[in-house]
Amino acid sequence: MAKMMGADILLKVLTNQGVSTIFGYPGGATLPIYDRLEDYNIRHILVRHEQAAAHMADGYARVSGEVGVCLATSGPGATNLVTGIATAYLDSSPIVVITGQVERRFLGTDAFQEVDIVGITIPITKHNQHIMSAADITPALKTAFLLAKSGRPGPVLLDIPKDVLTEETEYDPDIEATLEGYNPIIAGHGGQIKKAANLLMSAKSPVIVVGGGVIRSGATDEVVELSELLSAPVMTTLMGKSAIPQSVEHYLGMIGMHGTKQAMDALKSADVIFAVGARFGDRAVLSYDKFSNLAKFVQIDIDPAEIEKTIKVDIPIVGDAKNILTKLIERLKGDDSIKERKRELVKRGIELYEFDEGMSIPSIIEILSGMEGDYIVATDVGRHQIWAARYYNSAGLGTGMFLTSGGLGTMGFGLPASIGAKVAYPDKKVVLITGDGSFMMNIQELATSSQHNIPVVVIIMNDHHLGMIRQLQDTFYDGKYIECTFPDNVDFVEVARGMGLDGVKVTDINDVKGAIEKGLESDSTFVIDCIIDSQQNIPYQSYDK
Amino acid sequence: MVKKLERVLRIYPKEDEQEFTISILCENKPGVTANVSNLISRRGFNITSFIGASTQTEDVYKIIIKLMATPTGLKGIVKQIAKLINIIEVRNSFNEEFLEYEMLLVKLKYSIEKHGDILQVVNHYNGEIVDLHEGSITIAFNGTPEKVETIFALIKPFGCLDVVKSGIAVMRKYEDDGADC
Ligand SMILES: Cc1ncc(C[n+]2csc(CCOP(=O)(O)OP(=O)(O)O)c2C)c(N)n1
Ligand SMILES: [Mg+2]
Repeated sequence: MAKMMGADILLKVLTNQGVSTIFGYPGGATLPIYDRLEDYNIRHILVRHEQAAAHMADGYARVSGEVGVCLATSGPGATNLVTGIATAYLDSSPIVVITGQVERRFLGTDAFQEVDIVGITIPITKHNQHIMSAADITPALKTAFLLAKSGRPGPVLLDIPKDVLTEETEYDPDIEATLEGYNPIIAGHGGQIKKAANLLMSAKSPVIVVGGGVIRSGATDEVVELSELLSAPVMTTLMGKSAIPQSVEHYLGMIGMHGTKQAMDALKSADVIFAVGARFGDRAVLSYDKFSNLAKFVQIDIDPAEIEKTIKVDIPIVGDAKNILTKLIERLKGDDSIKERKRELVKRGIELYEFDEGMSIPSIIEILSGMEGDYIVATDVGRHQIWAARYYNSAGLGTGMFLTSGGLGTMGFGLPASIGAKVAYPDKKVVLITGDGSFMMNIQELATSSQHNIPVVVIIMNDHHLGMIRQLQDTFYDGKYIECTFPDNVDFVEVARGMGLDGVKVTDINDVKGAIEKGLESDSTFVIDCIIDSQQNIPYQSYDK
Repeated sequence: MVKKLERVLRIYPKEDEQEFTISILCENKPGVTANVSNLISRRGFNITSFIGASTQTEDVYKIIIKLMATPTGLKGIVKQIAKLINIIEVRNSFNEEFLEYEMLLVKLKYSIEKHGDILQVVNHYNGEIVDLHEGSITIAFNGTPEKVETIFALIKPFGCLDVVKSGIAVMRKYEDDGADC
């Protein structure tokens, strides 16, 4: 067997795993990899900040369902990844993170650029590991890919000392890693499925709540079929947005704090709440005491630890959503009475924003939504994000094509995630809906998009505010606004121009559509700075109204 | 329907904390211990005893943890531990019975006048004198945690120079049929 250097083994295994792109930033500890990079058929996207590399890998993974890979050097390179890893962890996105580390003999000596990134990322990775010899690279990397995308997906981090990368060892592509304790449950328990079927058959007004797990499982068709079979309306959590086609008539939009009234009403009148791949997060549930008493609960989740994490459920089923729903549907179809149970369905009659003349965030989203393109749509975090989730109801939105940081709520996620998504789907248009606060958090990635020619249409909802903070201060602090205002000291279009891109400032609502069309036609990233003149708050939902 | 709030878990804990035991079988890989203890501490529960050692199977490790937690909290922790990649099996004292055993190592101030009194406790509780120096005597005792506690109460007045407990080793009281080491 031929001897190879650790860095070569790493690149070889990545290639064998089907990796065509990695997002990274070099440093002393990873230079052995960079030195060998040109011999492999892997595209390296040089980011401008490591956090963005993690978000790009995440965006890539979310839309493609394939593992996204990012690479950073030891010390500050590794710590810069942390927010991105946590973002992927909370939204169950499959990424593999590779960090360089100081040479083995320096470990634990506080050597230059040494940090214990494995220790730091214990609570935000599905798994992480030091690789202490070149011979371990192949099994560890194979395991990392398997773990990242199987079961409940999530980030896996591998930390590799520099001298492991230069160590020579025999390369055996067929080494398999053993994972004795790891057996994700895929098939649901037959008895539980039967119980769920019986409950659904006897339910008068069942509703289906869909979370991000449906996207990860690819269970869209099954959810739609089940809802038709039961004449049950479907609603989603924030992470579940784009899990089912928005054209489905009895899709009632989003539940939760800023959800739709239709979804709220349907939940209140339900006798069975059938949750698929949704983890009953606090923002979605709104009030645990009220929510948990609404109805009987069926919960399907691939992660046993999600079952009854926050509320008691009547029928839990652990396993893959697609697998379980297929069996459940089969069982329901076998029962003749199902056909007689056709009910009058609540139809949403898509909630439209009452268009105002001025430049408001929901109006702009309504315009974008009305264009009905099959764009990938990403958001940042803030009021614009929630407005987008509420009013981006375009029938053109494909499964899994709405990208948002739901669990961690990471400002600065949007631009790099959009770039990652565009790399996965070069033929699709990617539109980013961002805020003036969030965009500034990873604005440097405009230079990355410009260098690598990865075009994104950027719509900045420029309200000169941390709008969500203003809303919270409005609602909970008597309208005392502290540190939530930005002066008009940034010209985003000029910033874009300064990085080799173009854009336009829009101050009239009638110019918005034209600007977006121009952006969509552009073959490089186009920044639309929408000057917002309303400080409208997002309505809150409640179980009492 | 269940009474209000009763269906809400963890977020509004109404249960009291009690002592539970978790017994974990895992691969002997670096970081397993850190992962397990991190899971427990980030949920705000406190570990009272933690031991880990090899088993009859090569590369398989056993970790035994005693902790204070609510019953619901315990269930959550057990599921989270089971999720860790290098974990093979997790059992807990909520749904099965465990035998418990512990060792106490004490170093006492020693003088010839106390010899008789000390020896009385040692003999009565089957202690073993591990070391005897001028001025100090080191004794090992074994037993259930309750017994060890009693011994410790008796021996303390002699003047402890140092005390080490092994942590509590546990074993399931009943094995499943056909189980073989
Ligand atoms: C990294 C990070 N820091 C702080 C916050 C808290 N936060 C949530 S929304 C928000 C304001 C976002 O402002 P902007 O991006 O302009 O969006 P807007 O609400 O104005 O639409 C802040 C500061 C966060 N979510 N993420
Ligand atoms: Mg803003």
